[in-house]
Amino acid sequence: MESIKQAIRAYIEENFFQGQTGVLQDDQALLSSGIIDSVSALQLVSFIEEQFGIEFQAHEVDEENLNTVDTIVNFINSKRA
Amino acid sequence: MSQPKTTSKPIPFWLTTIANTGTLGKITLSLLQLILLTLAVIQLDIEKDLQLPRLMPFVVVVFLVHAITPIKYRLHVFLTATIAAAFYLFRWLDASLILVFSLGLFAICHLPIRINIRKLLLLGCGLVLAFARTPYSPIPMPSLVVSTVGTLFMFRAIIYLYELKFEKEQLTWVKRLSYFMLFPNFCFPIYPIVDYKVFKKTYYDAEESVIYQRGLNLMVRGIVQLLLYRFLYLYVLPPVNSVTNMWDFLHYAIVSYLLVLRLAGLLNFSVGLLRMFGFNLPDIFNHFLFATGFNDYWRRVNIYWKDFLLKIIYYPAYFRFKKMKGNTPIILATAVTFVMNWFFHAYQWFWVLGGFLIKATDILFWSIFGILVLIAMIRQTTQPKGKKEPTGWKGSFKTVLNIFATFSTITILWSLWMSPTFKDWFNLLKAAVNTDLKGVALLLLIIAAIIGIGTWIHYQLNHTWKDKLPGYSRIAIPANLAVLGLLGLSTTSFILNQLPEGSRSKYTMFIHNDLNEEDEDAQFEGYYDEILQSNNLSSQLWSKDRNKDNVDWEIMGETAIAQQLDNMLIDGMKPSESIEFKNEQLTSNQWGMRDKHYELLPPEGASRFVLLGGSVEMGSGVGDGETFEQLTENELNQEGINVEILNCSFASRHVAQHVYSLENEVLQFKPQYAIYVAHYFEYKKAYKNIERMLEHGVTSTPYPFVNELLAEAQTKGKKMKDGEKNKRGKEIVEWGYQQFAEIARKNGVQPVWVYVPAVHERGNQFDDQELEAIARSAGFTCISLRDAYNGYTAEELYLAEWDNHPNKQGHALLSKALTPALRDLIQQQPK
Repeated sequence: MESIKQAIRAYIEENFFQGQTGVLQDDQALLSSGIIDSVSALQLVSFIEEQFGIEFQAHEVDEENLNTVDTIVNFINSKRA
Repeated sequence: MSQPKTTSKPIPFWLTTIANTGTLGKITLSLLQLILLTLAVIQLDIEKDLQLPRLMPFVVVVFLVHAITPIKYRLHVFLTATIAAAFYLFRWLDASLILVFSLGLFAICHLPIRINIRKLLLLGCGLVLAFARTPYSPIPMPSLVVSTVGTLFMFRAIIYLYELKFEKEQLTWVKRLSYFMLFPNFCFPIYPIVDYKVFKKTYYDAEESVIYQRGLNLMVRGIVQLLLYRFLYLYVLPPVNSVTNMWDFLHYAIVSYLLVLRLAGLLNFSVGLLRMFGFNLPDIFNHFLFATGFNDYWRRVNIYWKDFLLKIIYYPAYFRFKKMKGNTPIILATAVTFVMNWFFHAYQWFWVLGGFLIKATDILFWSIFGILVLIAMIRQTTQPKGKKEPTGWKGSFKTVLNIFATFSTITILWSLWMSPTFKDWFNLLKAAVNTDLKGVALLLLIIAAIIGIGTWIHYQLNHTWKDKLPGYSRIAIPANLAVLGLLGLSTTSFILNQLPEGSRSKYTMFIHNDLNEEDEDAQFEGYYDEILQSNNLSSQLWSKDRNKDNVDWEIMGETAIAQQLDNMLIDGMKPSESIEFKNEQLTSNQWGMRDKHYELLPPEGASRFVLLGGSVEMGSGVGDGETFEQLTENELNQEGINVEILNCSFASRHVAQHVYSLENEVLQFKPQYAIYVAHYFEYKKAYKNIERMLEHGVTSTPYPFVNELLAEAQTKGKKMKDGEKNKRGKEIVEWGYQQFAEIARKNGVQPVWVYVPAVHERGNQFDDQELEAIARSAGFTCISLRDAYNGYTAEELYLAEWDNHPNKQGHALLSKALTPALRDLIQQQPK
């Protein structure tokens, strides 16, 4: 679980925080705060799908699943379960 | 990038005081702000056409009951309030129909059949409802019912069925039903597209007083935006036909774009109202005027709308095309989204106003905007990851430059959207390039100054002033109280009395939320239907039309009773015809007058009048025998005074045409008196009439003065400024009055000038004294009916919200005022 979290965090920091490390908190809002927009959300989805071998459906691209590092990790785990 | 903020600022004393007051104290404070806000809405007639001043006292009561009810039962209170609001705002039959249809549609969403069949059923019901609104329906449904049910379900049913498919949690029926039955929606047909998931998730998801305060803050912001809109609309927006050069174009384009503040105000107010009942919804706008790109603009303006399209169109489309290579899925999904974005705007317009919005300029606007967003998206996906953005002064400069470029482009695009046709827009653009080198240089200088000042402000906000300025939430309560207090104070007679006489009526216009001159004219002259075909959501007019019940009111000149004339009168009435006009019978006599039968010559001993006027005198919207001239004639005859008043009026005619009509048509009836009827904005209308003649191909008349004006209007066209037109209008009136009186006197007829006020005229809004002086010096006997409507509101006297012609009662009042004046006139006449 920790490795998933690290991978997600690294991807987000690299792409949306100009590569700064350690600035992203696990419960920090990403979608609702506007850090990740609709295009970035789809890029994140592609990354997750490729990296963790899961497949998203259209209705799953939302705040409930993608708003924070924690919710992303929970979603990946529930998909894998 | 936004980082979580840490705050070490001292807490203001009033915040700690409030924190110590407990829940009751906090709710009392919210209630106090809500009451002040309600008073401001009522005093300033905020969105009167949408019934907001009526709704707000109801909101106060429901808020109080809701807030003191245990949280478990609050949704029950909210739902009950929705039902009560329907009966409070609408007629009981309309309210019952709205509730029955709503429950029916809600029940369809939950039928135990496949979801796709439910979608088809809902679509079918939508089509039936839409058809029921048309005049072809065997059981015509009131437009208000269809539009209200439509606005409750048009978007939320789509989201609800979409989510229902994947919903795992069990929800109470009350909560489900509350999602549709949001009572503020009754007043706001253009309503935020509240997402079902967000609706569920945010219900009392924070401390209640915090939610209420967020609601109040947004409502105050909404009111301020609506008032700013009102100011721009009434006093700053120039008429589109006055745009003749680059500066006019910039003035027009920027102000007409800023009229979007009305939409922002309405939506902010709506979201704020929902927060007062625990729905802690997110903000709907995010400083969209300061967007740094088209993609950014799309993200900031009407966020709920954007989220709806992302959920229902963009993501599903993307996943459908996902297997394609490169950026193709994003390009295709964006293209589909913008096509649907246009469709949903037209769809919304249809439910609100009953007509589909299919306009080439609208389609082009959304196409260009879609392409701009798409280019921005592709740039975003192809730019190197983790690219460092410039900071400091360079960063501020770049940001401000982007804001300026985005704002300018959207402003120009907006002028396209506001234009009824491409030709209108090209004319605007043609005017925009009408400048010289000096003008271009000055414009560049102004742009440089704006960017320079903007860069400085941006830098200070993000560096020097950062963390020093308090957020609105920290100053909200005193700020709200101050704003609302000031708004309340601004409407008092004390303030009104401090204003100079001349500006008082203009300020009254502001307080009473009137139409601006251009829209008022359009409404009065029956051009309203044509205007509505534009997409002008920013205009004050559309909200008036919402209650337009199955009406298909034609313009007089386009009815079966009208006939084209090959002289300067343009058109007139066919003899001995009868039609239904504005739901009333309109019959012409053997002479083509809207009047009863008269012989050519007056009977022995009768005093004969001819009356020359426009649509009001013709009796637009009242039945045969109900015009004020007919009522006056009846009344005088009942008194034993033998009188005939021949109504020689026809819609859209004005002074120059009355001169012609008197000289060439009317004198054959051998009247003793010729009445000329004057109205407000007489000069403006006199000139408009010249333009109308030109539009109808009239270039020559028997009057050299009119011919000169026609030639001038043809040469100068749109280059003529409003001030110049008004000046010409006054000259026409002076000439026309002189001519009319001379022709009358030469033929032994006494010229009589009668001033008939408009039903919405208030106080000294129009100076009829000057007109009367002109008429008197021309030799008219003057009668002013300006006080005829005293004691009545415009609502009691106009034909309909969208038509300012006087109704039966208005005509009766005019007759009541005119009768004694004509009696005196007849009695003063030597036998």
